[in-house]
Amino acid sequence: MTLQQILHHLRANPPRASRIAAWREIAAQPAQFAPFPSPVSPELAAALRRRGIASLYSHQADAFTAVHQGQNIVVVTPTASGKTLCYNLPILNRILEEPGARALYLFPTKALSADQVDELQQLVNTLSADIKTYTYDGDTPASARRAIRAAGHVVVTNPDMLHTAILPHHTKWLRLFENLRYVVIDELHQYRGVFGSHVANVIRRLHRICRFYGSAPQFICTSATIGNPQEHAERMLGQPVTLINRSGAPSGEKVIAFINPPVVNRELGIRRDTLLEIRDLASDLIHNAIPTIVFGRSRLAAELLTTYLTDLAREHGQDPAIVRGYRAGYLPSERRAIERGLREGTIRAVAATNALELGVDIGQLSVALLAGYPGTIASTWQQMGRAGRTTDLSAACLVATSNPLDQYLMNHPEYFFDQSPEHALINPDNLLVLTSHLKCAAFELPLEHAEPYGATVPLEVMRHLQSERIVHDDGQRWHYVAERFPAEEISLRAASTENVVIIDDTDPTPHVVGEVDLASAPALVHEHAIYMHLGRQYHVERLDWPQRKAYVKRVEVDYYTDAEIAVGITVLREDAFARGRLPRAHGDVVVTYRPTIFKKLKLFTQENIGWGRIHLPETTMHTTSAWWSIGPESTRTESIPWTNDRLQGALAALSHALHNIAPLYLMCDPHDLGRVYEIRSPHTGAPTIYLYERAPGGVGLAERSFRLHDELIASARDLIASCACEWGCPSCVGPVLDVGSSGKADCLNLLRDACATALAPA
Amino acid sequence: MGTAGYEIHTRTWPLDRVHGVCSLADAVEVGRAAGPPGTSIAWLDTETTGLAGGTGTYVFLIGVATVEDGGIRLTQFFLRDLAAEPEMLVDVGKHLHRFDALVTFNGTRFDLPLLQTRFLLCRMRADLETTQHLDVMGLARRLWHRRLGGYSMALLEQTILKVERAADVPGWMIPSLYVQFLHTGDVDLLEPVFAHNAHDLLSLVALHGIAGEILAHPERVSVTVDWFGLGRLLDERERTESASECYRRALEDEGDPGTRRRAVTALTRHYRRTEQLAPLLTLWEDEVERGVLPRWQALERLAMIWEWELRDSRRALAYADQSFAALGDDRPVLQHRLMHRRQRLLRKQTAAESHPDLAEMRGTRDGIQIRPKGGYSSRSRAKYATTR
Repeated sequence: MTLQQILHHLRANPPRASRIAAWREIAAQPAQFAPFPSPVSPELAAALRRRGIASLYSHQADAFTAVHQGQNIVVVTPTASGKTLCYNLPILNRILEEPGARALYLFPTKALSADQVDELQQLVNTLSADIKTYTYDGDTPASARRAIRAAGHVVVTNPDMLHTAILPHHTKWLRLFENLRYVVIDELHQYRGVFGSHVANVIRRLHRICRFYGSAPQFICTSATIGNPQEHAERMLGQPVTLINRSGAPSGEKVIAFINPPVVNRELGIRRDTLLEIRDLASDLIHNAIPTIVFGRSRLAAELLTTYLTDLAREHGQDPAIVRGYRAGYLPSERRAIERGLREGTIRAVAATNALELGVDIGQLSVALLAGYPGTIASTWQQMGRAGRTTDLSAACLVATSNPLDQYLMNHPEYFFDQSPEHALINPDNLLVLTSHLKCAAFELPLEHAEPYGATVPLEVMRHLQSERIVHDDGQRWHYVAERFPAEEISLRAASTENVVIIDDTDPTPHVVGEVDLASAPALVHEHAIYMHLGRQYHVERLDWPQRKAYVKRVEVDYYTDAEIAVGITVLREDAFARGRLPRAHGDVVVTYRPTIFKKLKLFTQENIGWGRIHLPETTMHTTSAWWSIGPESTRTESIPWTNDRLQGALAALSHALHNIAPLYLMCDPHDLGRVYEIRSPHTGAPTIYLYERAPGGVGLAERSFRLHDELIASARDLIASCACEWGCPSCVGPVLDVGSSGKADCLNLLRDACATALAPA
Repeated sequence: MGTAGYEIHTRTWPLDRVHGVCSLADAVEVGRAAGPPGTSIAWLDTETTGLAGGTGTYVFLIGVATVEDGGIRLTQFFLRDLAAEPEMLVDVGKHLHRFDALVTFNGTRFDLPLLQTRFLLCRMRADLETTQHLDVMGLARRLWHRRLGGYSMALLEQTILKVERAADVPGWMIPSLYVQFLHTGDVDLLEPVFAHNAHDLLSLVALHGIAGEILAHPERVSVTVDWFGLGRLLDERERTESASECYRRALEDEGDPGTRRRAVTALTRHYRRTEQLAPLLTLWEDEVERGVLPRWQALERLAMIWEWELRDSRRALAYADQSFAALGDDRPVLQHRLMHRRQRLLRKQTAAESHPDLAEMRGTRDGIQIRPKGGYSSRSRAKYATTR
């Protein structure tokens, strides 16, 4: 069967067709070609022709022309539209004209930089010009570093290395900075939130150093589709940027379908398991060897999907090796092999987490299946964009979970198709971030009193640093005088870069099978956890927490484990407060994570077959939070006998609903927020629910949810009121087991009261 | 004296002043043997605002010692005001230009790159990298690290120079003292730092002298020294005869297998080059006796010597067999290597028994080891026979 026939079959078959919540057909778009612009040197044009590129897509020519005119640009075009040529072409052209010219390429991940260096190197080889391209990252041997500093035309690195290794030692990079003509920032949309705010400051520092050496590089950025690419780029660079977003790349016809699994338990509001639904959809695709990618929302989901798809391949008499998993914890060499297999066609189906959202080149796939809404409109489009062919038909299916956001989209598909994708938000002037980078900036070069940094150097921050004896004011400039090397104390990524290594000692010679980041480790590799990797199961024998090592043995069991983490919260400072039926506030908090127990759940049926305790130290994080308490007017109501159990049910319900509806208004991922509730909060003295930011320090989501209070409360009320379940279900207030028999009704009453007072004249 | 932003402090020590075990005059004189090439030396030491390096570390005190006016003249450039750095560096550059060689302690990794960075940041090109330079720390590491368990200036002062520092300011406190000075303007805070820098330079001159004395006259060294390290230093200076004497002394009591192997290997190279076959054989026979190196290894080397240098495949085979027996079962690669040698020796031996001349020819063709021109004369075998 062809993909066309499979899709037809899907729509024609009534039990399946009834699950289709939305069906959109996107027409094919022919290629828009443009000749090589005249400034492109004949030898470069000839080299491109030898590599099979006879003319450019229109956006590539537009990019070249804009760069040639001296503009900064941001290129926003779909996956696999030839974005790399938008920067390689003008840069190689310039280096051919001016052999002393240098360029700096910044990629967010190593996997990406490896791909791009490869592509650039091939083009350079075809050119047979003496253009040196080097990767400079943590793996670069010390012996090679000197040569790179002196002779690399194109230096490929990441923002972290620029921050800790290049800028603080800029005198060693004299040749690069004196001759720096271009800076490429690939995957600009990745730099948002706290990370993006840090990177914007690294760019400010880069500007200063370039000014010192008398260079003023142009910036060439690429980005996936976001709501505000130009604004985001301008904020990131602090300079005007030209937007290039009319893609000239061809695309075949594409079908986008929303699939809502049938309800299996109306009372509990439980729908058929998303992963099983995906499994059924994938069956025909695998049987017909149609290249398919399946996205799970978590590592666990990706691993389960790998298992399911491998079984399918076997059932259809195919080599199970055509199915592979792909996620962040895999070793770089494993990832390389998977990417190669996909490009070459020895791998036909991949189960991935969002690790593959990044622009890694995996060739063209026909179908993308998304197990659950990825959390943001932008990443949904990106994952769906993984399927797409230049001429043939492709398809992308979003299969819903019982999650409220998923259900909201199934009921209101127009929200997805009409809404612009999320805006990438950064706040380079966030005080914590700014202060950190001002230290680094002063370390790199004394800061002039009137120097531009963002707007100007903030006097009060410098006074503070002066009183801490980190800088010294000589009357005109601030000099760094502390002993410590400031860049090393500041990590650009909100999450720590520490990880736990997973060691398989089943065999006499133990070997490393993977790694997990420190924050996820307590939930994934606690003792007795079943850790899944490459579709294999491992039992965690011992977790050496101080050494960051987990020792595992290969096993074959019919269950997986799911850890529970108890979250506690302490308010440090209240920034703002508002009265009402639900008095609310936002401010700084400390969040404490304590792993408690894990459950053993049977594969396929999810049946609970046992549990155990987790013995690990608790971890803490400073962040910001918004909180709502139940005012005395509500709990004094005589009609409701408020027992603790009943109150707990109502709080669980309310926090569940708010936590799930908030991302729609804050344009963030649900994972960016956490929730906690307390029957009697030590801070407010009343029953209280908290929505806190998972990023240390926060990026402003808490404050925005405080300000968006009225909209949040109203849509939470609508979500609950329009849900068909009786006592509560995962799609509105959470399962009845969590909220009790009165949770849903009590919660709805609280929300109605709050809305009534909010709308009543003061 | 100096402009408002920086100061230049000078003082002169008489050449007959004794610092450590000898006078400054002697130190300056014998230090020449250690290098660097050049006619006029400047000893240099800096004090900084941090130890991490990078662009944000200031050099606030640059001490330069030179031989002038019949004494050791110390010139200290002190940065009172960070804004005056460019002017001060102009003067430092001019001063250093009067001399054509530098001597430092850890200058290669610390002082010189840092100064280079400061010059660059003040938009000046300093040709520090092209100036002749001797880093005494490099010599100290070779000469004393393994003997003393370290080679910091403080340790060397205590054990080698035998000088006392009275009420010295510890190095790690210096950056914070300077920041405190910037804050308060109280120069008295830095008096101990100036003294510390001056003392460091005296010790540098003295240590340079001792290193020169050791290198010039290894045969009459009176201080603790790592003989193997000294041997290496002499080897680098192409004084192979003195070097091999040091290796021999090193082997008298060297218990560390790694160092011992390197010393024996260096000596082996020396004996081969100079065709001293008897000492070569004794050397490895002693190693078999001593048992610091693995027995199989020493026996294998003897097999090699008998096979290639002395051309006696029967004796060589006997050693190869002993070596094989001494080797554990868990070393397959080595076992294979020895088996290979045994088989070749067996072939040679059989050939030698039937056609002595032919065997000699095959040996020549296979010969990959160094052998003197014209092959081994019967004389070398005779020489062996007599010593035996």
